[in-house]
Amino acid sequence: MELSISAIMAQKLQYNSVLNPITALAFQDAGETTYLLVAEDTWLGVYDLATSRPLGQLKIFYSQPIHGIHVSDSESSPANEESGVLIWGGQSVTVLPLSSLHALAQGATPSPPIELKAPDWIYDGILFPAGTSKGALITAHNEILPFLVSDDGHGLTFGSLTSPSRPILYSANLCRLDSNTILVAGGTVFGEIIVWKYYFDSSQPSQWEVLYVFTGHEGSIFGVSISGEIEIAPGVTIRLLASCSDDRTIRIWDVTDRQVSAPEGQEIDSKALAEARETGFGDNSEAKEENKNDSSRCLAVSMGHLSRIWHVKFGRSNQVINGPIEIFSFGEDTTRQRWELTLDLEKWKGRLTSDSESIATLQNCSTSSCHNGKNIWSAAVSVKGGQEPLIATGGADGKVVISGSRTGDTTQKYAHLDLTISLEDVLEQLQSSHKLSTMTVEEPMTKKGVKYAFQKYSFLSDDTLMATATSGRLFLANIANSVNWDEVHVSETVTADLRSYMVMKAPVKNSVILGGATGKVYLYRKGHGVSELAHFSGKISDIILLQDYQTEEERSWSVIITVLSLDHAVILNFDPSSGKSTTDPRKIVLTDHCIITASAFAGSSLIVGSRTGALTVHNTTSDSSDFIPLTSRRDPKGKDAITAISILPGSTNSFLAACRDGKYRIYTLSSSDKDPSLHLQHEISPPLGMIEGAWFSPINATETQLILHGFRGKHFVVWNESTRTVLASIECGGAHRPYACISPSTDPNQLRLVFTKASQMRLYSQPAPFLHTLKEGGHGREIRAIAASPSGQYVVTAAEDTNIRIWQSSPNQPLKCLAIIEKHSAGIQSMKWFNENYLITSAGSEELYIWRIARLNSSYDGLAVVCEAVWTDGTKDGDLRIVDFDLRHSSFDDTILIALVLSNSEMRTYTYSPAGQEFIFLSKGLYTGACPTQVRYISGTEHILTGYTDGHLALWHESTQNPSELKLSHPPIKIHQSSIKTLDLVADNNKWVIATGGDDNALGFVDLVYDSTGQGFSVEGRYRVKSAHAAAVTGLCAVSTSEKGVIVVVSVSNDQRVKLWRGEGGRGGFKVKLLDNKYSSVADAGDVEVITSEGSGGRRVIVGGVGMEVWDLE
Amino acid sequence: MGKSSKDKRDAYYRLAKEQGWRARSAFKLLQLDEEFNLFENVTRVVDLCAAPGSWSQVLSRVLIKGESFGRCAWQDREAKFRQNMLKVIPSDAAGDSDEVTKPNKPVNEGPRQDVKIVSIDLQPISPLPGIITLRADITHPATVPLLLKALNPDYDPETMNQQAQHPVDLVISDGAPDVTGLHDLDIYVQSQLLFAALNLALCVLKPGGKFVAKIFRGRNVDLLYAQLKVFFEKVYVAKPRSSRASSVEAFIVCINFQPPEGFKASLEEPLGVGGRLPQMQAEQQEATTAQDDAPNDDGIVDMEIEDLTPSNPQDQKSIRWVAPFVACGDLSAFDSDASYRLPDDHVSLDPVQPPTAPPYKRAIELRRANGGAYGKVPIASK
Repeated sequence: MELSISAIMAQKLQYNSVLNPITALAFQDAGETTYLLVAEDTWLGVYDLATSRPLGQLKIFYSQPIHGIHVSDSESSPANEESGVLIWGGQSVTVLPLSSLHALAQGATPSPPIELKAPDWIYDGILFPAGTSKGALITAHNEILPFLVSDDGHGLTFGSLTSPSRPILYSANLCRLDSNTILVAGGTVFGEIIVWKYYFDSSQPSQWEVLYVFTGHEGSIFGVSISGEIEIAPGVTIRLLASCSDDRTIRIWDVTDRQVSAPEGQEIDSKALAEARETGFGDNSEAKEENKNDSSRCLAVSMGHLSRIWHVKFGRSNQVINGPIEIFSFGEDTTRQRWELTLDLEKWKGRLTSDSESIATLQNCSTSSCHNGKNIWSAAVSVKGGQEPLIATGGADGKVVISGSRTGDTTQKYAHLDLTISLEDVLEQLQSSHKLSTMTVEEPMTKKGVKYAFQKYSFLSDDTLMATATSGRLFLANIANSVNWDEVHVSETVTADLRSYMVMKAPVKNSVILGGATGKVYLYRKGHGVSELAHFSGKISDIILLQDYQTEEERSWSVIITVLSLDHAVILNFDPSSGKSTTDPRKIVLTDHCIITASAFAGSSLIVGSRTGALTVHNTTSDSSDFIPLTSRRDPKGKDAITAISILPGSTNSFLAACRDGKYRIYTLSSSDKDPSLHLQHEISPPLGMIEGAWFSPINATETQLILHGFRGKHFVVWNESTRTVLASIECGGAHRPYACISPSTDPNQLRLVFTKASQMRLYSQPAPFLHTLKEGGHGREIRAIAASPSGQYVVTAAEDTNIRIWQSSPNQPLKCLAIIEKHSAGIQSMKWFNENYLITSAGSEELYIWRIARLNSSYDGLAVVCEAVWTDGTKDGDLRIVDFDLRHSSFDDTILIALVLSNSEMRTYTYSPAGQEFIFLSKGLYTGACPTQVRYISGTEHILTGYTDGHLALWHESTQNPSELKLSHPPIKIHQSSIKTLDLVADNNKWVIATGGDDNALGFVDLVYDSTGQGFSVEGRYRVKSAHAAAVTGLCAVSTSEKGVIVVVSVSNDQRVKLWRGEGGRGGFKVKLLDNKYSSVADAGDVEVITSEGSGGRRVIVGGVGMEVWDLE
Repeated sequence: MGKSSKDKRDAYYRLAKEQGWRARSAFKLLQLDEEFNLFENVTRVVDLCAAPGSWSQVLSRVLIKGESFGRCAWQDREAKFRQNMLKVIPSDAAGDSDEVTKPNKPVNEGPRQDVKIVSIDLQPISPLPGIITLRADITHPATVPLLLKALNPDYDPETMNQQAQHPVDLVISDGAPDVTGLHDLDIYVQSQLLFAALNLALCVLKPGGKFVAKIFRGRNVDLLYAQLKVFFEKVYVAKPRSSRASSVEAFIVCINFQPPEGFKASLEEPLGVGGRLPQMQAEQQEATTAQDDAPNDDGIVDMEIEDLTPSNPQDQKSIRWVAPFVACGDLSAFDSDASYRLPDDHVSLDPVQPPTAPPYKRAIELRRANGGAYGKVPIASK
């Protein structure tokens, strides 16, 4: 007996990892480098900004997420080992000595923090500089809670609560004025801001003094921030308060200390409180008579965010006297915005007499989208002199993004540049350096009197750009920290040929090939000047490259030349060693007026992409020595051009095609040369409106990333598809303009871009993206469904925002996101795998998609995902939810049987054949009208199990009289008082144990027996664990066990506990044991799944909701 | 979502419009009443966080006008028929066999005598016959004298007395904050709203009175249940069928107010922050973690579990207790999670009252005026 219990005891949940919202951030100076302290649930992580590496993490609280970190200001307390870090969350508070932090950064495990409970929720805290060993916290009821730090730096002793009035707050900020005084700002739920002073020294007549009560915001105050002292005129300083609110406004208030005589603190007459008066929204603030005019201290109001604003913080202010004051705001819309406040000094001085005039303007300067889903929950801003401030943001997605890195990376070649250059500027520079071919600057005019402008751009190398003018002249720019211009001298006839029309491409490094209106093709090579390469019968309509433009110039190369109104295209080869070009005798035969827009060789086959989105495979055959079209397919819905074709690295038959429809697709060419066919493997829409280019970047020996660029709205966007990050987003005015861009082939983060805007050239160069991801995130919304593939190598998660992520799951490795699918338009209800190569997902609006999943045979490690089929047999309005579905192999052939349940109480069954890619209806059945929540095939039988919102289970089978009708196999089985939210079952010959989780907090077990001789099902027992959780049981999953008659399940709930249960039938009746019960970091848990890794047999439990967490099952 | 598709998606939204309720939440109170006989012998009621006023509307129609609402108000006849056919409900039983024991509802005979109903909200509430409406923040100390004066016009605020001379039978609150998405903060703010309602209730409720309030069933809700249990003989957590299963919302139903000896309610020393309530809990731990209830007679065997988890001192620090769960509204009630087919000629009605203006209303108006992000929203033509 003892033995068996210890065997059971061995089954436990062990913490593996979390990916939770980032709820607090703080910078900490650490000599050479800077640490970023990152709060993720109950954990504090330390990151080194110089290397972007995590150094260590420490569990701070037992079961309370961290909401705030205060690091004492290093400028007021020069690096002192005695000081520490104050950390709070909810009512929990602790102090961590710097020595603990340094130990953590060194990889050691410091002593665990001492968690103390404040009497109320904490919104902000402050730790005084070293030596004073004190600090204060502010509660959600506008009360200051002072504390003393113990000598060892680990403990706190609270003082007594002090408050001028106790409205409930949504935000607060504390600012140290002197060793005895704190300035307090509290933003209330009802839109008021109370500014008051707190004095530590109780020998003062009063411990507090109310300075201002600001009204004006029309909704709750979610963020307040007090600035430092700002010098606005010699010797004149002001102090500002910034606030942000539910009303979408940011307001700036003047909180410069007014000299009031004796504070009248304690006078807050309890009579005023007890007075019978109406309160709530409207003109009935906490403000007393003396505060009635405070709101005239509002200096500026502005709007910028699309939804609620959570934080506002001050940036640089003291660069020049009365220069612009920088402010940052962070919102629900995942953007951080930069603002500049400009103060009108004259008006400010006279403000007391004229308060109607705007004293200051608050200008929105930039908006950067930083996170997935919704909400920037935390932000930190660190200002050092006039340098660009360091800014970190943490999102609900668990990602940390920083900007303004102070440590320069020496491997970067590209300097930061952002220049606007006109053709006149170029000519003037050339004239002043006497490099002009003709001495006139006045020349740039066409015959019609229109000014000449830039025509085309090509990068010849990292630092050389060719820009051509509509006059036909060719200019070279050498780009370093500035730009130096040169002109490529060509004969007047060449200039005339290239005037007003040309195509230009850079086939290899330091070479440019140009085509003109008369059919002539020219080559410019560095050191060789311009020469004529070929002459065709008509206007050169395009030049298509057949190799990477970063190919070294010594290599021979080929391009496709397309000539206007010619029924074929030509391959032109060039051999640099001889300097000779040859025309390939094999013509590319074009049909149906195909206009080639992209092309590449896949082995001996030539893949051609057209302007209307078609892809055609050309090759020579035994009958033809020309490249004739052999097979073709067109996948874009509209007539959008294929913009790039790129062979997958390490592959000869798989290639990527980028398209202006915003998607890129990966195809595999079947090996048969005679009868080739194209198979679509992958089709995805990255967040780019039009994809114009795609290339593979081998960032190191083991990893290759896919880089895309294109236009989204008015922006040119460079997107890293492998890391799913924006590398650059530059406002250019939109698509349809000449542009060129270049990056070092192994570093896509560096970028140079040139484009025409308003007849001028804009040259942009970045050494690194503006935003840098310090820590990868996941979904930014609540996870609603999780499914692990049978082998355990993939886990798929779906979130509230309809996004699906496929993760690579391997034991002892963090989950790695392989793909994001954005196709569903309604909330995802259920997901299941069928083998390793099919994923099926269902959602509201009657969406059910079948996805084919494959690994690509390439050093590019992306996952290929394509939507193979869409279920279309829905209702006229298409507004039902497909709440759940289940799958099984057909016992006859390779088809898949699908049972799906709809929100109108219906169940339907279908077969799906991967070969035909179609659904065939089999049967349907209707329950009472109650909404189904679950459906499962019962293995080994022809029956289907369903669960409903009315707390019942039902068993169904096809009617023998009418096979298209589903009939009940057994009267509905009651197991819960309200909705069955989740279920799982284990089989043992003709017996099943069904485990259910209910909205009624209960766990249910049903013992089911099937008599195949005709008696059908019988329910042997129904068992219930009341109050199995303190809230609805939202997820449950069976853990496979070899023991007969035993079911082990893991359950999750809105109560944020994850529990492991064991149910066991037997002679003594059914018994339930609770094996484990742990705090879960996942709020609003939506699902739980057990991952069993093939081979190792290791099992992990993954919980998804607000964030996700992984447990090892031991 | 348009009105018409919402009619299909949400049966109670449609029913509320058809039956003249200001909001669908009226059905939640009606279904709670059906299960717990909340209005039995009740004449004096305080409704907190009342806007837009659908709960006050229920009070007005039941207590003042003497109307009676039963299952027919929300029964789905087709579902009832199918339930009998599929044997979800044995046809001989009236469908009550699987519910918590429940006395038969007395037939309501006309308006009651000496009815006094006071409704409070932050937002103004459109007037309702026979109901005193106040605009006030229930967390504010000034609200107690305001409420006491409304309940008893002779009340003198100068006395500073925070106890009602003429206490009430029932205090209800359907209040919820606008959630931020930061779950533990939302749970905290909701619990503060619940405590604000409780603090007011403790000032005005007579011994034996009832208290009903919205609760979020999230982390640490078991701490709240245990704290409420200090003041009431019975505490249930109830989920009406009109409340969606997918929502964390539920209602705490507290029966038979029994203030602990020597307890004096005061908004000067409110419960919900600080150590007063945990202290009281520690003094009477027995009462806060036990409740005698008739077992469910639905034939499901309730299991005693064997707990093999080691006791964790961190988990022992606070007193936790899970209130019994009660589903309200019988099985034939419309399912708030299901989609319903409506006849082709279905005419979607306008809501009885438009929703209250959000704080960002002006932001939307400004954006629209500037042709901004919301500018594309078509403005309804007159």
